[in-house]
Amino acid sequence: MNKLIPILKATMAEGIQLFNYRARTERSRRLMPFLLATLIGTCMLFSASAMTLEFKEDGVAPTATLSLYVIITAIIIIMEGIYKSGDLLFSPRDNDLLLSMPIEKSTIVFARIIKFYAFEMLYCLIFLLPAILAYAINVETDFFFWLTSITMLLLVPIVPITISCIIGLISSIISAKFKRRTFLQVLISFFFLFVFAIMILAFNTTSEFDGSSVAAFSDKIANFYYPASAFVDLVVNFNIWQYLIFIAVNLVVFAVTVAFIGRFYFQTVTNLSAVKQAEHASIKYDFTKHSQTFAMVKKELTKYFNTPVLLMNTAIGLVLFAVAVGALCFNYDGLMASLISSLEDFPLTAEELYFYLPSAAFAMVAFASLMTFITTTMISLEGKAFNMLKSMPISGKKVIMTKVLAAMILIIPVTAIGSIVMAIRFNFSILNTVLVLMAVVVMPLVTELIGILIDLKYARFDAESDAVVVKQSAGVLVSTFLGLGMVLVTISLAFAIVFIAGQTASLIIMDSTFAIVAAFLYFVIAARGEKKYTKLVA
Amino acid sequence: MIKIKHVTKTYGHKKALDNVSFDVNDGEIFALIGHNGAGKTTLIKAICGIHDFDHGTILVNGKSIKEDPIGCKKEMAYVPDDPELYEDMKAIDFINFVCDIYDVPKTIREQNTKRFAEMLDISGELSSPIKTFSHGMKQKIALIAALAHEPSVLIMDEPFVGLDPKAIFDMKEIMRKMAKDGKTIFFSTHILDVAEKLCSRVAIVRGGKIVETGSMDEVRGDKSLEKVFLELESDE
Repeated sequence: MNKLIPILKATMAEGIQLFNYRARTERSRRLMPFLLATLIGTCMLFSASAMTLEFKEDGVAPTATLSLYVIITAIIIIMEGIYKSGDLLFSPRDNDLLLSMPIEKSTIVFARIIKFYAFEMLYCLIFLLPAILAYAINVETDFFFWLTSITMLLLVPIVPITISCIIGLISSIISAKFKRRTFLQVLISFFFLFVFAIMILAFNTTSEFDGSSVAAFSDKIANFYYPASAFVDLVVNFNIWQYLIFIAVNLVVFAVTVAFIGRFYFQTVTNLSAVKQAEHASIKYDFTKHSQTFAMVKKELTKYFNTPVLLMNTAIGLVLFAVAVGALCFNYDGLMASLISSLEDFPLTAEELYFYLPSAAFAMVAFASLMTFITTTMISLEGKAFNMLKSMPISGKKVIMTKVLAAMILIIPVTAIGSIVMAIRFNFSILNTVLVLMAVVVMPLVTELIGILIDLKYARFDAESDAVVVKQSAGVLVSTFLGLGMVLVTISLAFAIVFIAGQTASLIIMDSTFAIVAAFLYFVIAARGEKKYTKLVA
Repeated sequence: MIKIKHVTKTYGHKKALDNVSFDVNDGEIFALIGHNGAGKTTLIKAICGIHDFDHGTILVNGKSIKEDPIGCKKEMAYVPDDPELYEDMKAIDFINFVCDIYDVPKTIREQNTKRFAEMLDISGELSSPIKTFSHGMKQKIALIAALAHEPSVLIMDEPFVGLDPKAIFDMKEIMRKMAKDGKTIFFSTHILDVAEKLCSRVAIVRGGKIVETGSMDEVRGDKSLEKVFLELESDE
């Protein structure tokens, strides 16, 4: 225990620092966006929970909402944890230091998992806490409800983290055996994500979103997922033994996980850091000269494709876009029939929906582009190499803009191909096709310009691993909430204009607005970006 | 040539550099000596344009790092103390990246890379990712990348740390050769023996101030550099 506390303090302090300013006087200013973003998210989901509880008027037990939000929180933690656990557990930069000290491997693992747990608590605060508060508003509660709820809030991340850590361990053990580790890690993470998504779909969630389906879904969850069923049982009828068993089960699961991972920890870290040298026979090096822009973009793309956590984090929106385009193109009639039959008061017919497909394509592009903030971490991920970059004869503005360009190179091909496929499949007019393709360019431009401005403001170069930068930094948190807000506003506004001024007018207005915002952001970067860049030191 | 005039840099209330002034002439090997936290790295980072300074001027070959940072940086190359390079890149890609930024023609980069890689005994490793390299190997790659664009001013922060004896010998040879060709070599070091044998001039920095500067003979007189350094340190 006397060793555990300093290790915990050291590892946690490093993580928390990413949200702070170096100077103490600036601390509150630095923390403000983080607090604000959390507040907004919590309020948003609090309303969502309150709305869900209205289903009780349709005969749904309020406890169904609680079990629903337990599983939502768990799903998010698992899906998020699958691709960051390997990096967080096995690749932190302080591994050499800690492993050289007289500390049990399981103590190091414990500290790593606790840090992971602490950050995943954020999802409990955002998703589960509002549901608990909404329940308390709608239903009369007693002391035992709060005791159970607070305990649940603290214990909810344990099972999902356990699953994520085991997957991270498997992924690291397998990938350590190969030279192309990064590629394998991405592949394995995608495989587990895919398996997990299939399991969720197996719950048949595509049925109508009314009171009975929420109740049915919650029942299914409660039968399948022990923490959710135990929580509901304790809320309905508190029993001290059941309560203690509930705590014990979670703690035992946690302890077993720490011991299990601790057993493989040293070997896995050793294998991951083992040097797998390239074959050197008759190597012919290429010395072709390229422009500064080409060199910078190539560097950014190399970093992107070699950082699994960044790749997975930013590819999800694009993958969803590609899946949605595929589903629409190959099963349009089935999807539309399902949509119309599931919503009784849906105001449009199948023919009218067909007419509005360019707007739907615009909305899909908006979702994929505005949720894909790649540049938010691009400066921070430079790490200490940033100093070397700053010593080179390249302007800050060029560095910034090449990062934006690299991000757009990653996003635009996916959204452009998807939009063109939709335009051909659904016979968009040439004007609408051009307007959707304009959105394909201007939307990621706005997103990435905002992303780089956020990173210029919140850049930190001392993270212990890339996963910490990509998943647990202030900039990423701000951009996530900003992206959500931008998607909601953009899509709502676009469809509101469609019904007022028509589809083409809506596309023109939205494209023009984004182009103006992009131009404004460009001038902000031109005017202030260089200055901000100059002040950054790794 | 590097001209440093009245450079001051503060972190909060602490003066990291306090009215620092000295010149490093063409053809000189100049060492900056000082204990940990004396201000060596701060000064080097200020010269390279990595961080700003509050007052004073720094000119590299007559170009101000504040007023013409790009022109100034074109004149020099920087080798950091902790060679955190782009770990995901192959060594050859990193060298090519640096050369692209410095706009180095193909023939020159090819010729220099091969020459220095062979000299530093690392030519067989250029196709390996940097993340598989040891500290010393990274240091060598940083040095090759720095030398590939033939800078007229070479600035290094603790260049000998982590290098094997052969690499230290080779690096000293490279520095001597560059100085002989009229280029400026400026580096910080803790290794006083090396400074004594290699450098034409030195500056001793303490608490952000230059406490002694001059040719090696001027600074040490009839004592060893180590003794002079320790005496100056104990004067505080």
